[in-house]
Amino acid sequence: MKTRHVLLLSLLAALLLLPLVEAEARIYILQIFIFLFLNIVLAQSYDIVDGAMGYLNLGHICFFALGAYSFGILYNAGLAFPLALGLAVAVVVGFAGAISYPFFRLRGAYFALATFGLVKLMEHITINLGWLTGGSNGLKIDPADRSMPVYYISLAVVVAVILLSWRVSRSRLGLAMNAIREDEEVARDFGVPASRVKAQALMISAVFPGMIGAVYTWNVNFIDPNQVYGLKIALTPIAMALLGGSGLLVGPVIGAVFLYLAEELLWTHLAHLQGAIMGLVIVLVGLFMPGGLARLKGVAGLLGWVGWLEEER
Amino acid sequence: MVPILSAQNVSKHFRGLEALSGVDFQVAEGSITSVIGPNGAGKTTLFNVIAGNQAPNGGQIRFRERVISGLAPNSICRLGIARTYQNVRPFLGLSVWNNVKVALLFGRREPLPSAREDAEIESVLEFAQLTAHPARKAETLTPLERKRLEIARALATDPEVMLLDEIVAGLSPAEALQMMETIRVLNGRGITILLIEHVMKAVMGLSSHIIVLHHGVKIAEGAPKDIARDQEVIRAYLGDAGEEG
Amino acid sequence: MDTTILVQLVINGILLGGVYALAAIGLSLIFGVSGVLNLAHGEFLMLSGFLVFVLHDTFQWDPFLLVALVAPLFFLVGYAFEKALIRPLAARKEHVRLASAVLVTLGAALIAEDFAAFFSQDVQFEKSVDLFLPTLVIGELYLPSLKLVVFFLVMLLILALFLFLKFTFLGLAVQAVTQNRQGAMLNGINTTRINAIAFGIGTMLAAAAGGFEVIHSYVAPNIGLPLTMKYLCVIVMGGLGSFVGVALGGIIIGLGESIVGFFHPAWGQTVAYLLLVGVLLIRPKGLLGT
Repeated sequence: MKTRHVLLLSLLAALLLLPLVEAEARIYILQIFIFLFLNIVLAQSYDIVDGAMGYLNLGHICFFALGAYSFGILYNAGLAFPLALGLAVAVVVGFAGAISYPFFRLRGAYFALATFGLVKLMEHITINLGWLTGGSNGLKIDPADRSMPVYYISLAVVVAVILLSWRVSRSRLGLAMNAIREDEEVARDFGVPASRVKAQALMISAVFPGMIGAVYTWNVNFIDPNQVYGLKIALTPIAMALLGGSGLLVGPVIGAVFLYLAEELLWTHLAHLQGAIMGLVIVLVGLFMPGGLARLKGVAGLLGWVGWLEEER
Repeated sequence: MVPILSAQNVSKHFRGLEALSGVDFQVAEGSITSVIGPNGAGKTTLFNVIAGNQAPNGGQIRFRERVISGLAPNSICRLGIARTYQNVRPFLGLSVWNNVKVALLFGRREPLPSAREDAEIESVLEFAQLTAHPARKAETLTPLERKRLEIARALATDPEVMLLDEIVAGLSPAEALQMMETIRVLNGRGITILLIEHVMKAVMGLSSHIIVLHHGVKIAEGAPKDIARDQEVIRAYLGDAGEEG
Repeated sequence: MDTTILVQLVINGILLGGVYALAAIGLSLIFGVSGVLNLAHGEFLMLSGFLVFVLHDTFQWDPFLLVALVAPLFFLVGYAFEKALIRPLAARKEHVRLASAVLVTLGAALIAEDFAAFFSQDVQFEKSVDLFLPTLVIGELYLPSLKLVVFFLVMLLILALFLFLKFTFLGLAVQAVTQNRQGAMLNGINTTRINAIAFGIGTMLAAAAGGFEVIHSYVAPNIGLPLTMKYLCVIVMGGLGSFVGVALGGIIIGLGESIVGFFHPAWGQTVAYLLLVGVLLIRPKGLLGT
């Protein structure tokens, strides 16, 4: 067995055993990990469209929020958890397919701009459809502590999103996406059906945020528009992907872990200006690390030794 | 015999600027046909219209009997028409291997059985003399290697027609001779070649038929010796084009 | 429906849209020249509003005079912002550059918002300048004269920008870079410097809009990013690169918010984003874009 397989499996085993450890603050610790997993899923799935295909989807959070709301509504309508989850994901993927055609007529900054506007549009629609969504008062489901199952499901989604990203990166579809990133016109000239490829990529990237959105509602029992469409939650996963190293399979994971931990530390140790310090970190990354943490010399060396760095999208 | 590629009365204008007006031509199957003319004559526009990058404002392009103008570029490529670009456009961030693989996977009419893909990519790379470092990213290639990659990518789609846009221009005399030989070999494999070229030696040496464009209008066509004899054409429309890359 | 109400709503909408147009033109200028989506644009508006408020509060100077003093100051802020944070990204590949610029301007926006909140103690603490001007009554129509004055000044600024772009050498250079960066460079235009100047002018317009906001409405630390998004909607509607289109986009969104907001208050704020997506579906290049 290769070093990296040993490392990966022991990491997975440790994460699987974690909830079984008896500790006073067990639920608190589980919740920290659940939110870490959430961030990893969002950052990793975001990078399917950005890192692999070169489209900056600033509206990625819509998939998460739509998943969260669809699940909440269906669950409240009396559907069992797995059914509500499955249907919520179906709604999100359908939505991704539907917006794909009009939005992907735009490129570069225009696409980024339009998807950014989509976040606000969806938020306002959610607020205004009060009869369905509870409007700005939010949506409740029957409250319960579901930390244990949520932890395991979230972990499973993390594993799934990484595995699928890896599969896609070595597939025919992945290659078509890469060609589109490099030069969409040339890709078309050489037979790549770009519109279809882009739609497929967007739908794949929507599955996991949809799923984790549903799980999120199940976990916190209450959602409101500001929580799931807020600009901070919308943009943080993107900052994570870029910070870690967009275009590398392991990049978004590294970025998510790093930024999430930094945030937690700031919140617990600083009374003021956490936001400003986060902002500063993001500015510095943008200025000095176009390749992200995973491409830094030291980190790249370490990753190369483990054998992960060559895995590009 | 039906020409493999033909244009009927093709026009293309950009905001009033007439890039092509009423162009007719026929490309015989198996031939090497050249399109010549000074800068701004509409040569590259013609290629773009054939390849589906730009829709003509009037007229039709036919591939054998089939009208292809209006089809998307990816469909046209799959029908068997592959192109290269005047300013080479490799997928810079992809490996040489994957550059060819994209064309191989998506550009062919009949998909290759996956067991034969690798062998086919290798043979294409070998033909283009790019076997040395298939894993290298295309951005590390020299200009000559990039031109070869353009050929390799087009060849990987198993085309019936290749549109070569100034593939010889900018090469050293030795390299140019080599490239001309490559074109002859491609033609020998049964691929019809449509060539845009400024290098007259290449045009005269390779072509069986020449089309002369000027200001978007076809002003002459014929065998090289006829065009060469038409001294007016040469002097008026090609005299200033020699140094252009 | 009562015609008077409609006319009144149209007037309100146009007055509202004027300020949108001003700030959005600033953002559009920056985008056109540099290709950068400046997510910190609304923050400059917010900061300038606060500055006008604080100066007015401390010295009781005329708020319009303060706008005239503060806005040019923000030219320097915008210029320095470009130099420090945007210029270093210039050499990167287009897609990487776009992503880096999103990060940098987003981070800057977070910093600005957090500092403003820190000094004003609360993210939602609304500040506004108390300035009373009598309302004009013409027949049955009410014209808030404060908003009229603001609208007049906005139009004056837009006209000034238009003249600057049309008739000064610098302005023509800015347009040349917007239309064709490479070509402008080949023609000896210092595109690096034009970038910084465009950021300066764009930021100055945002700052003027911020001053006007605090006079006829209010500012709060958390208005920056949402406003930036609204301006982006305006720009997309109008078509990137078309200043007339952007001005029109601002007015249309102002009109939409005013009219829809009258009948369905909740949907009023949705108009901008609905129009954004609607326009994209029908005409991706915007109303007047080419």
